[in-house]
Amino acid sequence: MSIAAHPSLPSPGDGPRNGVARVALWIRAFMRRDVLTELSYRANVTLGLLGGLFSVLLFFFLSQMVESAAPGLSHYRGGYFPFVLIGLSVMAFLNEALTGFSKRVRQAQLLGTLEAVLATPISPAAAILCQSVQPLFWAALRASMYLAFGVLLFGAELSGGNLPAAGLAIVLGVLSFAALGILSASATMVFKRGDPVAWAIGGLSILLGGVYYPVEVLPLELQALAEALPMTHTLRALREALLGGGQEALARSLAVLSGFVAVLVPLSLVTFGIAVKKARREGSLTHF
Amino acid sequence: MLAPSATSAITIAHDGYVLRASLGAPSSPLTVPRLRLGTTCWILQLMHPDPEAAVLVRDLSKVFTGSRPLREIFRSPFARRKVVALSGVSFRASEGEVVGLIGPNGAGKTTLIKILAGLVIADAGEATILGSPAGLESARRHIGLVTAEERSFFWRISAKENLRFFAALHGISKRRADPLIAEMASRLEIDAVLDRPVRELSSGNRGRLALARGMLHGPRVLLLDEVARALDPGAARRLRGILRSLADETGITILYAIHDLPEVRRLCDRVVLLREGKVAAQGDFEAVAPAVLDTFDLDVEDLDDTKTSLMKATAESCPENERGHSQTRVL
Repeated sequence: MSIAAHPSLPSPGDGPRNGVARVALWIRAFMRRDVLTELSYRANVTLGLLGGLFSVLLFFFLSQMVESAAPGLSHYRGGYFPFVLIGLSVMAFLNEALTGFSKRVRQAQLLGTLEAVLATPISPAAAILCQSVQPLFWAALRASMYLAFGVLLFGAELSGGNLPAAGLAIVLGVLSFAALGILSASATMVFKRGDPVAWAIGGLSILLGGVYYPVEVLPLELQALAEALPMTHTLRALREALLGGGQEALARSLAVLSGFVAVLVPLSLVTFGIAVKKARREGSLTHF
Repeated sequence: MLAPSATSAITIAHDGYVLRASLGAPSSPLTVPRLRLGTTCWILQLMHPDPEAAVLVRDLSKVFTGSRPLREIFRSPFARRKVVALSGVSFRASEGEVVGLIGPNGAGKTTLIKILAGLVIADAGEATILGSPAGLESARRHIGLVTAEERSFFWRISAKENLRFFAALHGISKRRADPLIAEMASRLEIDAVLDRPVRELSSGNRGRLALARGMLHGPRVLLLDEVARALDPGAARRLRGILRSLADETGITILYAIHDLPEVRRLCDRVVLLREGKVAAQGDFEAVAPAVLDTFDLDVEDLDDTKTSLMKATAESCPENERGHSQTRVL
């Protein structure tokens, strides 16, 4: 018996053949799903936005007692408040990029949707990347809100303005954090619970990356360790770009970030592929 | 073996596969690179030795590593507890055929379905969907997987949004998906609940939604795992009608892991009986019936669905009666 096209069913080959169009369709589908899911938790959305305002307020008051001449701070214009405002914004990204991927893998394992998604033509790597677009958008919105609150309500000055360099720093920073996030998702795929990547990188980034205080206040040994973190270079590049600093330091930070991206992005995608293969071999895609 | 099939084509058969090099236009989705020799462009095609088979499984084996108590791990840290799920399983399903996959719990039915869906990788042997190795994208786009797993939806969003989402993963845009969803929902009688969040649907409606999801993109092979478990008898009967007409009208191949033997007898063209990971028997229902009775420790009467359902109904309505007494009354 030959397969005749049934009028009510599409042919499997009917979808967009163009790879870009297909990926765009996938990204739209994941974003739509996530926005609708997010909006179904209305209280969470509202509290998330209010939480941002509280953080900015907290650091505004704290900045009143921090000397602008503190080590590493005098280098930038505007004192402690603009410094920490940028730290808070980047932290919003780091959190989402670093934990978002593994959170989504874990959620899909728990919900039982992972198998249903992976039984479709989408590849595991495409699935994990597409479903992280909306959370990164959400993180971008939150980061912009921190900056907007800081500038509009509390008068922070961010007019040092090399905006193209700042944009590039954000893109490179997000890519390197996302790569670390995918490594973390690989660990979740294999170990299910207990994610050593997010734990180590996340913890060290907050402690040593210069989010709340300049790296220069750390002992020399820890400063050397901080240089190995993408967070340190992302923050440094952004602050150099937005708060005024040396062009040379800015270029160096962007170059280091590019190096992180070049190494971490392929490494993370390959690792994730291996992790999915291992889970498929063990039959543990839906285990949690 | 080397056999020139025409002056413009060379066919090489090796290890069960056929590599065909031809000058003509490719006719198979498995077309692999073009090879330019001088001014001539040869098209290389990896062809399946059994082109009539929609599903082909040959010598498939899968062993899982089971968990062990902590005490045993300390005693011998590197030892592994092996759980044989499949061992040398072979069968084929043609286009338009409904094949029932039956066997006791733990026989390997779900593992087999998952291997065909690309969710589990086999240790040895081969499994192909329309000639493509299971798990490859070219195989996955031709399959529809339907399981009884109710959790496999996004519960906070509506049934329709769930279907749109999975349609998009198959490359079907919202504009094209909506009429398909409407038609599928009407066939499966879930049109009234399409706009409700999945969390508000009954188990039966979630089961039908899973079917709609599996069939929405027009798969050529439908893999069903215990899908009628949550359906009421009427819905299960209508599902059987839908599956039968799908197979007859569209030539879709259905591989159905199922426990309900009367249903298997009514719906399936052929049956594959799995026992402890091996194929114990295969063929039409009547041919495998003795092996089925032996495997499930049943009597011939148990295969008579009328008697079975009446017995069940009577036993449920008269719980105070002893089983033997109820049987006597009904029979």
